[in-house]
Amino acid sequence: MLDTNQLFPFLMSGLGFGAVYAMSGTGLLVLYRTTGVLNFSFGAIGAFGASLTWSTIENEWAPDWVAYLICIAFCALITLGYGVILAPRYANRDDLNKMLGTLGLALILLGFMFNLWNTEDARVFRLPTGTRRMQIEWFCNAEGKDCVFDARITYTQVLAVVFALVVAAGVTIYLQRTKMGTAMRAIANDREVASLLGIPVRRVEAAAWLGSGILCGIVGLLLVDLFGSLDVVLMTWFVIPSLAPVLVGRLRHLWVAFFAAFAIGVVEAELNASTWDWPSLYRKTTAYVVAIGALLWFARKRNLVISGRSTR
Amino acid sequence: MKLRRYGAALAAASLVLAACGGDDEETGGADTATASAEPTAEDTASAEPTAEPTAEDTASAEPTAEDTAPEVGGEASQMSADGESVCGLGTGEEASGDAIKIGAVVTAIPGIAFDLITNQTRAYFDCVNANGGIYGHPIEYIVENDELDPAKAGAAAAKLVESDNVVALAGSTSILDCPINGNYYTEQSIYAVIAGVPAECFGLPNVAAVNMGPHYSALGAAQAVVRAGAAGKMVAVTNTAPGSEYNNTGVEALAAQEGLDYESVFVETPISDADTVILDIVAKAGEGGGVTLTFTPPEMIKLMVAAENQGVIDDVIWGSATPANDGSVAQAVGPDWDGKLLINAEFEPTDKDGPDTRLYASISEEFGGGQPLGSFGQMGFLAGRIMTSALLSMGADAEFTRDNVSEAIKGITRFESDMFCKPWYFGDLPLHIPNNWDITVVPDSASGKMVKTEECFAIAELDDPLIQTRAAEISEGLGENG
Repeated sequence: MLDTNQLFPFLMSGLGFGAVYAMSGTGLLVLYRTTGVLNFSFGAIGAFGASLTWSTIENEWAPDWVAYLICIAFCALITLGYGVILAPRYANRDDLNKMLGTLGLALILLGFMFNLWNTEDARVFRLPTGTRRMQIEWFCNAEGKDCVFDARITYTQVLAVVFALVVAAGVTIYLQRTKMGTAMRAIANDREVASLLGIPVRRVEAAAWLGSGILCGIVGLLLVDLFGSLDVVLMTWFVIPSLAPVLVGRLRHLWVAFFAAFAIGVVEAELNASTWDWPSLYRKTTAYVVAIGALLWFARKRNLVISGRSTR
Repeated sequence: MKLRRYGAALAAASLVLAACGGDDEETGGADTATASAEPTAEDTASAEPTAEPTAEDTASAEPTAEDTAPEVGGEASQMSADGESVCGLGTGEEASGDAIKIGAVVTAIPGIAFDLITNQTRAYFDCVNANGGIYGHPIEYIVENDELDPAKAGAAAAKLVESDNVVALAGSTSILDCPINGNYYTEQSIYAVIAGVPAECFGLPNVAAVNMGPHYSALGAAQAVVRAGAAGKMVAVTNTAPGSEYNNTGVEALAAQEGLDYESVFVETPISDADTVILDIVAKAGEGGGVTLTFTPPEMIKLMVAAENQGVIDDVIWGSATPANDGSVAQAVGPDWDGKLLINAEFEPTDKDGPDTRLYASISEEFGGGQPLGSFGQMGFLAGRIMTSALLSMGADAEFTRDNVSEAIKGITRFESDMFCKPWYFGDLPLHIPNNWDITVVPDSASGKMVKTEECFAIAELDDPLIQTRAAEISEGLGENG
């Protein structure tokens, strides 16, 4: 019913989205490990930055490359601003309150986007990599036809995969090899002890917010190209499925989250390749099913406590 | 512990998201009257489209109804002495009397942006108010968003009718309004000039749409796709909103008539994975097959960009229902799409040199915030203009009560505009499909606009409502026959 030639283009598309899940997941996870905040405004900030890019390009206020930098700079500044000004006010609250603070920021930004731009109009800008395409033809016959693997991808999809890999590897090396990375890991292990040891907690946290913001801007630009248009609602809530791989990585294991992100992207895409309708209709639940499955799996050996008595 | 807490939060958030899932100058003459020239089902699907329906040859074939023509001339014509369309009385003076309340119910949620239509109706009424209103009375336009929630749709209608006391509805464009409130409007004697979406909007005595709706629009697109040589299989694609099956059933009937295989595909909006959606559609249609798409412009662009990326534009013959006839679509896609998407426009292109089209562009700029020109905007413009004509036809001394306004609306048996293929009408009928001729346009990247590729042609008579409508047009002397 399915042949490789039919599955392969879906695989390629899934890898592109998996890469964005991976980048988002990396940004969310590192920030969480360092600050204890799961940033629900990640997508909204990226959407706002991308909207600024769209306005800059549409109105020809500046060259395209400046417009892209505006997106990244905006996301970095807003994220850093939240991290330096508002996040410390939540420092003594529990994690749920910290998360809700970022959800509030997401809703505020979404409201501003609805007011500042006519978000119902189709808004499009393409990255230079989005209009260049590559034909993959592997294992073809002597005439170069009837290839076993045949698909067309954009350079944005390639860029997303390469960039996700670079970000994950870079973050890993940064955390292992640099003084700031070591400080981040120390804070992730125990914030109070790290503080007592003289680690400048606020400064390290600010660095984490800044890094997450830069990633947020890059993801925002890539998403516009991968979605095909600037859909602020879709981008704002893209953070929800992006949390699934982070949960699979138990909010701690970067590379587990990284590969889970690609797996989710690919499965989601391949469900659309089925000749049956029902897998396609439910494909968008993939991330949630994976997240729930992971949570159940991790909880399988945990004791259930009833009225002070422990049972299995 | 934290993991579980966030898991709960994630689950809750996902649940929330899932829940959100010519003027007429009433020329009054019979110079354009037609009747028997209407094509039949057999010849409309595959025959070449005809030129604009001139009908000189059939002018005297059917009753002309000159004696029953509405008084849409004079001030109601909204025309200046030099033949330009104007808003209302065109006085240039702000209206300041008691307001005449007109309402609308719209569905506006992410992925379904029908307020593009009500925004344009509002822009039209703002222009009318800035030009003397209805004999000094400004129009107060009250729009309620049902947010695709049945409870909100019912509450919106009750508020408009019972609290706001609107005298009529104009520009309503909702997936739920007609199915939920249609009978209520009938009981309350509320008449509506709307842009129709679900089937119910085309089966009511007191509701008439300026458009033909997604069902006939997708059917018109499919007719163009068949004429362009689609073979083997026809795939009709639309969203998963309630009642959207209706969008595809006309295409299904045409496929059956033409001996083509058929498949419906429903895609959840907003679309996040357009690449895989488009690959799936093309695989289903097969090489040389036909595909019709019924989506709003933002979603259409995602699909068209994906088809560009995947290099599948030439694999099938593409058609689209009216919403894609939007300048933003032509500007957003590349030259690969030039001439390749056969869009049912329902109305003449937005760059046509006609008085209404010029007025529409100018109102959109001045009162509509520069909203891109397109079929949605034309629908809003026409709904506003028709309602204004009905109100003006009542005369300066009229009482603008609900009953009187309803009579004025029913009295429209021939409303001409350079946007329509044929004159539009309301009349006294059990159901209304007054816009049932079509134009095909295609994207042109060089101009960034949609350009006409087929002249007016009749939507194929493949179902009872359209057969009844065409018969009534002749027997009642409506539209072209009026």
